[in-house]
Amino acid sequence: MWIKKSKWFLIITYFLVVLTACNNSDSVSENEENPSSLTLWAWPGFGLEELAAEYEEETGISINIQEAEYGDVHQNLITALASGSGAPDISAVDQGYLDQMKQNEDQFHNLFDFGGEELADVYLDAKWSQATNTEGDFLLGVPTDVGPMVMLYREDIFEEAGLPTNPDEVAAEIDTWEAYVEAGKQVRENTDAYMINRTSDIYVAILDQAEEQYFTTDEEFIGDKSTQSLRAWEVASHAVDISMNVERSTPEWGTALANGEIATVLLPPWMLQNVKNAAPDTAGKWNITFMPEGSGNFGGSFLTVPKQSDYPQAAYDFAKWVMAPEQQLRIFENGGPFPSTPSIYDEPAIQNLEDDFVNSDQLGILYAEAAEEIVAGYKGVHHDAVSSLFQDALVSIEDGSATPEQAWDNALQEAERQLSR
Amino acid sequence: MQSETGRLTIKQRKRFSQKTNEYKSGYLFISPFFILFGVFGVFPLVFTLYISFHQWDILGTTEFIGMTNYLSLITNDPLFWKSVGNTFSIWALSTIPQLIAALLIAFFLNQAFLKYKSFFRLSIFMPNVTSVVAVALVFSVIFGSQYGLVNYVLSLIGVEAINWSGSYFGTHVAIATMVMWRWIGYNAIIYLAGLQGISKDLYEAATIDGANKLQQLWSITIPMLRPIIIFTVVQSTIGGMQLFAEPLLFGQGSQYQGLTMTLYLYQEAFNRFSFGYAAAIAWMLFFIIIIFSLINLFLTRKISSA
Repeated sequence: MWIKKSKWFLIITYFLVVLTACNNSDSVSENEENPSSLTLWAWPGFGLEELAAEYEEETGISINIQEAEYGDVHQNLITALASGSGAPDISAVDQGYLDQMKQNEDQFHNLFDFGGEELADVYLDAKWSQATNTEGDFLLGVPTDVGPMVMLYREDIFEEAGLPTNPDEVAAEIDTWEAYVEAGKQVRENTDAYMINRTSDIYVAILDQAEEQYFTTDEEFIGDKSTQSLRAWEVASHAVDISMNVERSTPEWGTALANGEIATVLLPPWMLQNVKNAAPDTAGKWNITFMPEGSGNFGGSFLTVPKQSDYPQAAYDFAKWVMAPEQQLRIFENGGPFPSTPSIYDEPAIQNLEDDFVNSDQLGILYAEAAEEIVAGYKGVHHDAVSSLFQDALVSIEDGSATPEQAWDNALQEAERQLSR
Repeated sequence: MQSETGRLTIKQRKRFSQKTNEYKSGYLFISPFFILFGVFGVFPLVFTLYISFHQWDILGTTEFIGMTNYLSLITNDPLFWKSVGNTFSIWALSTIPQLIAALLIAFFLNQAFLKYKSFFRLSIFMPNVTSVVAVALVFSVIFGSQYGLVNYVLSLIGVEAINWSGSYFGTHVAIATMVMWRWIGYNAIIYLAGLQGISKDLYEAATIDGANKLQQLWSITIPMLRPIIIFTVVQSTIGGMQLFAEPLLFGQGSQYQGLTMTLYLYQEAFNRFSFGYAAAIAWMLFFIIIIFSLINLFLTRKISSA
């Protein structure tokens, strides 16, 4: 008999171990209204740790921040939503994935149900219109940071090329993309440097400056005829001569920056750190001014509350608090991304922002002005896939494997094929 | 008589039920493997087949579309066929020189005159235990178009810089080099094990008969290694067809010259979220690998028996 008992004991223990191993994440507190903790998914760089600790002290709700790589966070979230379990109480969603999430609204809590209306005037208009659906009756997430595009340029190279070096004068001289390409030719002629690392970076910057890009709000493809799509291609495909053909954020890019072979970088504030990391010895040689023809947005996310969350109200309350103007300012002061709440743009921390890397005392003012110029372009679910096709096509021109006409045809054909599936 | 048969039946039944019990506990002991295999092996396989007949973006609804995914893959997807071509080209560029080099290295390591054998064996195997991500990153720098080491060396002998990430030739060679660097040692060690299984008598007899080293390699080593060679060819075929991390990290290039079949599968599933289509690619990949492995098996059998 004892053999049988111990056998069953073993089997039951075995299954218990398996079950508990699979299930250890579900330690739910019994109180519906006040959870003891909330889980939050994000990727590195949000700078929420300190504020989360403070929130726990004030409210007793601990925020369990689980970080993963940018791509993994979104894939994990999509998997968790599809499988119906495992999603966090709050998840950051980047604007690149936003439209896909919006198409599946039913997977998320509408934050208007928890008082989201009160946030309408807190954030930049462009950010707010991204956070809501086209009808304006569904709030998917609380806006986080914003990435206003500006132009970083090497003063010494501009001087050598015979271009102005003062930020205001540079902005006045390079006020259109055509002028940018012309200035680039001047740099190529008079110095050893290239104007930009790759034409596709110009392309993306231009594309993002208009409301209408590849798709209408009805998801109709207009990449072959929308004004901005054509213009971005026109400028970028004629900028091959001023481009070095090196991909952004690669070791080659870093070497080129450190060697002083790239004269301008089109970037949002958070990317300045990448330039610093890649080329620390070039500190003091850079300055920043406006990009031609207005700003654009690169990066910036939203804190969403998946339907699976048991405490949507508490999740919303935290998201609202942590992304309120005062908190965003503190995140920024601690080296985090640029705030999306214009009410604090007059604060000294932004107005008097300084950076040894850049010779500008107007840095914060510039970022703030650029942020207010951001246009809320409609992206659509397939935006990134289509965009990468056109970017690849530009690189194929730079590689010398296609003429601009061939490259355009290839990209358009492939885009239409992928969309027709 | 009756009682006897009765007892026999009871005895038989008893023996029988004990046997059944033994079967049961036997199955119970091996069940963990089969449960895990079922959950992580069989189910995904069957489920992949199921969703390959559907249009599924993972979050939305699943729509049955029959063979449409397969049809558009075969008839209307230049990118897929390009990825098949790339995969085979990179496979050929990496596997053929790789196996020949591995065989020569193994032959050399097996020589009696060689000192510090363990050191050499360990060194030759080391690349295989390095993380593929680290390998790909380092090689991407080495094959950089602007500041890469290879282009620098080429410039010393007067060869013009090659755009490694921007041309078919460059990308295929760069990726094949990464694969070779990682797998030559692995195959060499397998060959070495095979070589050590060949009786020394054969070589002694050949030496007495006046055969030189090359003749020994050709007439003794290779025929005796036949099963091992077939094994490595099949292994590298399966591995080469599933090439993923190297092209992903090196970059697929503007003409998609680095796009391999599994990379394409990954992009369809996780960048474009067409899971049905990706599942269809997975099954196509399965058939292509089977067909190609059979061809390889046939060819290697023929070559080494000739």
